[in-house]
Amino acid sequence: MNQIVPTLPDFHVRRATVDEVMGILISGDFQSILGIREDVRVEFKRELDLRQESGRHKLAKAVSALANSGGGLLVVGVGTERDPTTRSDYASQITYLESVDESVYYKVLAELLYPLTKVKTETFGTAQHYLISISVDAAELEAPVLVTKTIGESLNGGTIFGYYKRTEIESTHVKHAEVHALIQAGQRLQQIGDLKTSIDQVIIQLASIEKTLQILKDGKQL
Amino acid sequence: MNEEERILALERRVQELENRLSSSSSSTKTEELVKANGKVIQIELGKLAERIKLVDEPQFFVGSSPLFATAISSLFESASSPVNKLFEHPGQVRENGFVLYAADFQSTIVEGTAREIILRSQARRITRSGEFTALFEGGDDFLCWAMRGEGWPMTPSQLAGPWTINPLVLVESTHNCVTLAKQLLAYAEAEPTLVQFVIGFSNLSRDGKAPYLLDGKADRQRLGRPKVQGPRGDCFFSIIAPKEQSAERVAFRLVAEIYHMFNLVDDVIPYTAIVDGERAIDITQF
Repeated sequence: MNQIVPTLPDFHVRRATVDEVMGILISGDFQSILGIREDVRVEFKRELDLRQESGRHKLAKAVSALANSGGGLLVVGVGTERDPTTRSDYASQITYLESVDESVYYKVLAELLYPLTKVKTETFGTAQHYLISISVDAAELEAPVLVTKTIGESLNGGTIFGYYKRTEIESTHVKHAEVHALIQAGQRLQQIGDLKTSIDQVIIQLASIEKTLQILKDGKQL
Repeated sequence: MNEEERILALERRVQELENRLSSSSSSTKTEELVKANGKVIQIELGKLAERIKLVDEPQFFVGSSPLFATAISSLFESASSPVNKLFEHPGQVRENGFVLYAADFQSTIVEGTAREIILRSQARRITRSGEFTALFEGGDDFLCWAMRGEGWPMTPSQLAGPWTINPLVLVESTHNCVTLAKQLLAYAEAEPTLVQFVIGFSNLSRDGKAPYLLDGKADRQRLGRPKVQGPRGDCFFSIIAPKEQSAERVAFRLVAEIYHMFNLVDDVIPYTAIVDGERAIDITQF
């Protein structure tokens, strides 16, 4: 027999909405985050080293997955652990960030996401004890947010992309078969879009002709 | 003893011998069937292991096969056939459980004989002849979920060392698999009266050390209870269950095979209760 030492936390594991997490961040009572379970809307990251490619990619992946799954909230500066009784991770430690430059987050997302989804960053805390929240809007159904990566040199190179969605426990990539289906759906939407553009142009031209006729008519009357 | 009595006695003896012979041949036949079915399930599991790229990695599996031939002829009827919908979207007992994933995943027909769903840490397969197999990652991502202990960063001893099976994962996922297998077989042309179920794991020895299993009822406060080491890192158990036996009872019987291998008794298996005089999984405790 071998003994393992139980070191259970003194908070209970629970679900919280994006608004509830934001409420805690705004209140400054960061310890109340402990025990909140990650889900499709809420994700925590201990840290993201945005000087490293892996850190930049992690940020882009997390934001795109949230966007493609209906939007949500990413909070950086919170460590997680696995809950042995459910298949989920929960906030187990406030790890804080020493410093936060929100503009770097925007730069990374602008560089790696296509299309750049609507995000809002906010910094909480003081004196080298910061948390950063990134609120992510839902992507439009016909325009999923992709993570791009440039590979190779000029002529031999290219851009590859990943398409992520969020499940209860992780950000996971979408398989190629589903991407194909989305491309086909997108092409149909493009055709409809082209048709709409043509109709719009005709309407503008008709309006212009109408206006010209009116001017001519007015001129005659004068 | 007169002539008539001797004839009657002889007839009784012949009848008795016939009965013994017939029961012996039927038991041999059943044994052969069980063996053959076991091999079929192992082949199916092997295919899943290749697809999910876990051939030499820790694996946990549950499977089933009708003891006598049948067919789920509607399996390839359409993507929206009820049997396929069930295979793709099995019921979930609770949120964030150790489940067969359902959302957003579509099955594909493979080899013209089966439907499969291959995910990152789990895969499942149903053949037209009714064999159901589910294969899960046997380490941190599923069977040994969250069993390295708390804390960050993890210590070298947390990262290395033998695997510890999470009993909650073992029980809940087995119940989910048995439930789905039984529901799928309800679509067979002739619903099988006897079904063979299997459970086991492979490649769970690390550095030559067999895995551990908690000996406690595993609610959150008791996960820290003592654990016991099993004899080996591979096992394959098989049981026969009649159609009428509930998924809860069948799942319990399967999990009990694993517990007995670890020299543990039935009443330390989590999420169980006595129902109608028999121990079974109690899903209300999930």
